[in-house]
Amino acid sequence: MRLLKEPLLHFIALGGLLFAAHAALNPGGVRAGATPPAIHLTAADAEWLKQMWARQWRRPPTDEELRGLVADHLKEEVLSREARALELDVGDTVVRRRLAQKMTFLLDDTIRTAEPPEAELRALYETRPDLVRTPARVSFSQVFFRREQGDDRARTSLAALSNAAAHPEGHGDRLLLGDTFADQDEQALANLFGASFAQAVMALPADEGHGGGPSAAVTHR
Amino acid sequence: MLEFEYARSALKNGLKLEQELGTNPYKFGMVGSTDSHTGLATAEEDNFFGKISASEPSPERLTATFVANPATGKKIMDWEVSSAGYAAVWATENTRASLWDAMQRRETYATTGPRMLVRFFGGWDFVAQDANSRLPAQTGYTKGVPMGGELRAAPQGKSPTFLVAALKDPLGANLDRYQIVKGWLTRDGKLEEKVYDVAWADAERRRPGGDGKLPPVGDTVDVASATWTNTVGAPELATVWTDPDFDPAQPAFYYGRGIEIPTPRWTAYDAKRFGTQPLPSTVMTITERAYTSPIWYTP
Repeated sequence: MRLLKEPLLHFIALGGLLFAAHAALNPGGVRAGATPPAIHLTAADAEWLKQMWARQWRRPPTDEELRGLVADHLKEEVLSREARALELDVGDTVVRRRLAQKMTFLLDDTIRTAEPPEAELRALYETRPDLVRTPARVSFSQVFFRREQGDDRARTSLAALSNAAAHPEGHGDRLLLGDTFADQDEQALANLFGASFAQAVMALPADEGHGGGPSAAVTHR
Repeated sequence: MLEFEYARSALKNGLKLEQELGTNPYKFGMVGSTDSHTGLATAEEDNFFGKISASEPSPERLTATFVANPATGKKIMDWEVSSAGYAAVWATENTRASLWDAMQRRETYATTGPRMLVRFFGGWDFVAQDANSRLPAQTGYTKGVPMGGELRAAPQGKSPTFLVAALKDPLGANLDRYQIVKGWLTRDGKLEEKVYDVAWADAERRRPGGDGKLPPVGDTVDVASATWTNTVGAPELATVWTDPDFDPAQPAFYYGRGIEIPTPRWTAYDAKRFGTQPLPSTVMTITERAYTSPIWYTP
């Protein structure tokens, strides 16, 4: 009976209870955490490393190079596992961005396989023109006249060329920029001739011969 | 001229090597580039962001050292570094394949920064009127070969004729002159060169002097305010030129060189913007130019 009142016994009993409680609350416990999971490098990994190398160097790696690749790969694996265990990937901007990028690729791939229905596309076209609009493009040929010699020659040519059968050959002065422009948008024309000329050309109705507005390139002297 | 350091010298040596080897290893076209290690295309003098990030615009770069080697005592100052140039390519369309093809046939030219439009055609039958036609380039392609091309076996009694034209950079400075640089191999194996002025601005008043040199076009640069005006020079030059010293037995090359009127250099813009005093020997103005790929003549 005196034994049951021994403080040492109580101490041992309480200790035992603590350990039991810990074991119950932590399944797996210390035993399981003591042996870290093994890292397996398989033939498939080696093959992948060889291919990555060959893509860059246009030849397979030598034995020494392959040993180096495997060693590097293993080192990387160990470090990244430890890093993850320490939660170094949490809050890292670069990791976040890369994961978001991978997710975007995944979404793009899945979206590409699904063709939206015609009605839905049409609805989008009607309601969101800002998403589908591209700059207007124009094709034209021009007959260029230097202004120093007056506008009469230009007027004569315009009259002559309004006849659909007429050919622009023999009309106009030298222009090193050429006389025919295909599929140019306003910015491209502004780069060659200046903004006001580009604007004027874009505003012309299609398919008609026109007396052109003054070219900014000419007046820029 | 250091024989093995310049393009013109290489072109000349190529003519000689062709005699020895049966092929000309220096038959190259010309392109320009910036050599900027900044990832930025800043070849404009008023927007020069330096060749390296250490030389980005700052009050210090006008007087700083770019690189110095204490062992040899050789030193390059930041002000000596150039904003450099661009490659211009005559391609039929703005696609990768077309650009590549144009570079392969050497239909390219180099500029030191501005975007001049330069044409250079060689043939046996160009006449003066060809330079005034609506589309000189069309005549150029029909009657001759473009820059980078080759002429062979001169027809009896004919000298090569060249149809040349240049249009200034729309936002840039007027042109001073168009020159053709000729290099040839004489019968006794000597390499010679000559620069011909073939078209120039203000031709009514400017004529070659007794020494054969053209008077300068004029200088409108105001270094302090880093400005210039297009009150001298011409926006466009075009002409047909015949080689007056042609010998059909001598291999030769010809390339075009278009030169602008003087303009402020990036050093002038820096001095004005940062208020830095430049070092005494700093060059403050520049004459920008374009070089076409050569046309080779082989007997």
